[in-house]
Amino acid sequence: MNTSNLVIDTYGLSKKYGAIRALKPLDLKVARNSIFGFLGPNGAGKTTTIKLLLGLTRPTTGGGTMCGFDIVHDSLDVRRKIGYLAQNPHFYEHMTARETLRFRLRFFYRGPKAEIEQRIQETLILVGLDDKADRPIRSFSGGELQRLGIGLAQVNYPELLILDEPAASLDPQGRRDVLEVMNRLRKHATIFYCTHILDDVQQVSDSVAILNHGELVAQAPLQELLTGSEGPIYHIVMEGDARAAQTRLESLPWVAEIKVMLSETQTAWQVLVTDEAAAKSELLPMLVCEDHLCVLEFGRKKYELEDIFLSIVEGGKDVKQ
Amino acid sequence: MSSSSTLQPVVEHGWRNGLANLLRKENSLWWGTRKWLVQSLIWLFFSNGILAFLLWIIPLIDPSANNDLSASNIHELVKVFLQLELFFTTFGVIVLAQGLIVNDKKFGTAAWVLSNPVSRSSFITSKLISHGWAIFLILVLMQNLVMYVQLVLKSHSFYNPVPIVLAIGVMSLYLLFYLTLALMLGTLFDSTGSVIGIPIALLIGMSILPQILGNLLPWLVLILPSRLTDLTMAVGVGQSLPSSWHYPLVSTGILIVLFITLAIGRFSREEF
Repeated sequence: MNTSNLVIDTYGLSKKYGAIRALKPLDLKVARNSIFGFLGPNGAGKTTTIKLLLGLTRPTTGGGTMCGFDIVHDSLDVRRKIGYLAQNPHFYEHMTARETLRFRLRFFYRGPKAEIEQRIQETLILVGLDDKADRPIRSFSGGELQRLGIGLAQVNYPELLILDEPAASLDPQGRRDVLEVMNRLRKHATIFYCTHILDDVQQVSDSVAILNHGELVAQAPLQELLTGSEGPIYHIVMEGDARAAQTRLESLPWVAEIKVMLSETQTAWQVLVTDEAAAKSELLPMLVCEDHLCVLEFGRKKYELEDIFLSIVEGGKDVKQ
Repeated sequence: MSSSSTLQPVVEHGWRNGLANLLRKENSLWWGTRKWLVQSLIWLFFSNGILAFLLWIIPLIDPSANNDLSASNIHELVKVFLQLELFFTTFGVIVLAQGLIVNDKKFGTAAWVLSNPVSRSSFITSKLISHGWAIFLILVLMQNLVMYVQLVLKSHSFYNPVPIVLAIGVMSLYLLFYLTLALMLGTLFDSTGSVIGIPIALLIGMSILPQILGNLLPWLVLILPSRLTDLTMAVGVGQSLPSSWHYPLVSTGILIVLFITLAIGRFSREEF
């Protein structure tokens, strides 16, 4: 990956708290304008990583760059380029949402009051808090706080948004809204976010990294991860006598294995191939030409992220790109 | 997202990053709410209440009481006022400053603020300047001004304000000592108990230390910040000053600088 295209690039970044190694040396690469899901079980070191990136905690070893600036020595420059939403966001409770947005925006910009207020209003509308803008934050629900946090993180139009569990305390509708906001923001910014909600990651992310026990155990584009580590597998469901087709298929050099599942009227295959190009062009036409065989389903087998996540976290697989 | 923005990036350097905005926010805690009014009324009651009682209420209750304000009487009243003012405002400063840093650490707002382009020095400095200024205006300047007006109105004569101005200066240094101490303790501890307890213990300790160590360590007694209370009263009534009058001024000034340095140093190493 071209380093100039990286918005986060760490090398050997680690953190120890006394004898506890919260984060083992981490080499993390996040491409510009991507939505990057940072996954891991509780206590895996995700929040520690974020705090190290933000300069809220000092690394024990290693370092890195964010938006082209050194995370240790140029932390203030880094923070000018980013927006951050903490896992449990805390803001000044006596302030209103509008005042809080104004407070944060003034760290970044000065200029005509009308334009500042317009930016604030746009943000309030974006996160659906325009009708609660002038209420003190102390009266906000968890979901409203979370949405305000997202608004605050993006009000300065950052190059990089770092969101720690952005949808954790939201109801399904709130979660959907947050994903929509993230999708809208991806045109303007890179989004690096931690979550436990793997379904959300699968919906919006381009790339993911999985951290387990403070160690990076997987980092890859999402689609690559979802194809699994076994190799391309095609899932086929047919009706009719498939024995002749199976024999023919097994003789092909690019077919590594066929798993057969029989039901009363249907036959299901999982065909592991070694040459995907050949499989793409030849597999389906071959089956369609077979007499007495009707192909009901055909497609590349897709894994759920949850399966991949659990197999990596529980099975100790290493899928670094 | 608008691309035709005329907003200009804020350009601040080094330790001043974020200072202007933080000052605005901290000032708004006093002047953007009714806190200034509430605190003004509280301190008017504590600091000027007794003086008002002596000057205005007692003559109403007992018309035969001596109602003349001679120069010596005025000096006595100024002394009483300054004594009470110092006593109450010292506690006031400690109480008002107790949560300035600790609460931000405890409730996670410090971590959020510091995720913005804000230097840690600015964070501490903004608290010191804005709260120090508000305390000076409301607890010190306003109270001394009201005291002075009361005396002038009662005596129907002009009273030289210079000694009062000097007393305000010494008193402010004394209160700044406690404010910076509380800020420093806020960076060291995570509970307000320690931030209140240690200055109060110090306040009591400094009042009894001269009796215990007066003979053993006479130089220590001379440089104790608590000597500023005597100095405040002495300059407030225009008394002649002892030859060592500047010692506590210098030592307190040094301690204030030390506390601020330690507070910034400790807070800069804080991990969130």
